[in-house]
Amino acid sequence: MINHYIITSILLLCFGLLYPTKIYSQSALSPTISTSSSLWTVPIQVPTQAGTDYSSTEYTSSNNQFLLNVGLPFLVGGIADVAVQMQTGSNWNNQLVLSIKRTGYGEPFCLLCGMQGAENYITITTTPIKLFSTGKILNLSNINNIPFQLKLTGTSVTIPSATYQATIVFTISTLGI
Amino acid sequence: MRNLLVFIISFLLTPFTTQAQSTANGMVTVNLPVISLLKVMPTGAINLSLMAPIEAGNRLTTNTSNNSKWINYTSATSIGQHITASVNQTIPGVNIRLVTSAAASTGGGTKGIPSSIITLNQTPQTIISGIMGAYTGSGVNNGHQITLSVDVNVNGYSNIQTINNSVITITYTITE
Repeated sequence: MINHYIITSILLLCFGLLYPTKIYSQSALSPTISTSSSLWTVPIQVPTQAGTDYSSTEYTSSNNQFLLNVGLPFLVGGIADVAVQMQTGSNWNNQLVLSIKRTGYGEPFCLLCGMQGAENYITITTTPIKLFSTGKILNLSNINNIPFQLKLTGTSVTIPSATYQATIVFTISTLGI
Repeated sequence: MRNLLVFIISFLLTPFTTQAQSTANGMVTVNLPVISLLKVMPTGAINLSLMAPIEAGNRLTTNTSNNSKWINYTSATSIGQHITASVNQTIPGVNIRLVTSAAASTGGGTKGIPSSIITLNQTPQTIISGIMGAYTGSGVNNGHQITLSVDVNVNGYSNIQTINNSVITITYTITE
């Protein structure tokens, strides 16, 4: 009986002491990601001659249409992966294809961080796909304004006229060590 | 005690092997507007005529029809579009007929279905229906070939008058 009380007391003590530490650690291990200038309204050029389809079926945004800010907390010493996917409304037409590529390294430029991936266009689907990865060195914990360019293909008058919207979701993840 | 030790060690290690993540969003908007473009190719007028009978007791006859015109269109829609035709004036006792062919294989999308032969008048009549987002290609041999002809309205023969070079304008309209 005495042993049972002792064991229970030790367990409660463990929870009391360690649970806040666990919460703190999870927070400290969480990378952050944010976007700025994150709306792209595709400038569709309608046909002007009867009998023709859209003269251009491919549209590209500016080189820095989306700017990503990545934060890697102090306790994170590993590599962060950023994945991309899109969430679409019910009226999205699958003939419309969105792609994305990284056009720079962000600020400050960190050669040793080893940022790589998305140098060429990657098709965005509703399934997450790895976009790029980056590491960190010492106390450099934030890389801002990582630029991305978007491309839309597949526009045609055969697609029902409507306003189509897609939410591009960037997810950053790390495996703490 | 051994189980307790395992529990404590597992608990300590848990936060350091948990994957952490966060998300950010961007937005893309694509506005594909309603488009209704139509033209008749080639441009220019055509001539149709009625011939006088060469034997007493016979009526006027037609010896010409014209199928040189093609309707080209571009349609972007969410509910469907159709094409109508009408004339600015009619000729008493004379029928102006229009036949629309099925769409040529050029272009793409769901092109329209032609109506059967119609007699044109000043009220727009549907000549092509069921266009659901399509483009026909541009120029002759693209889209729908149309055949125009005139004949005598046997029920209105008494209305026939001598008219020379009556210019009739046919108006085609594409609309939802």
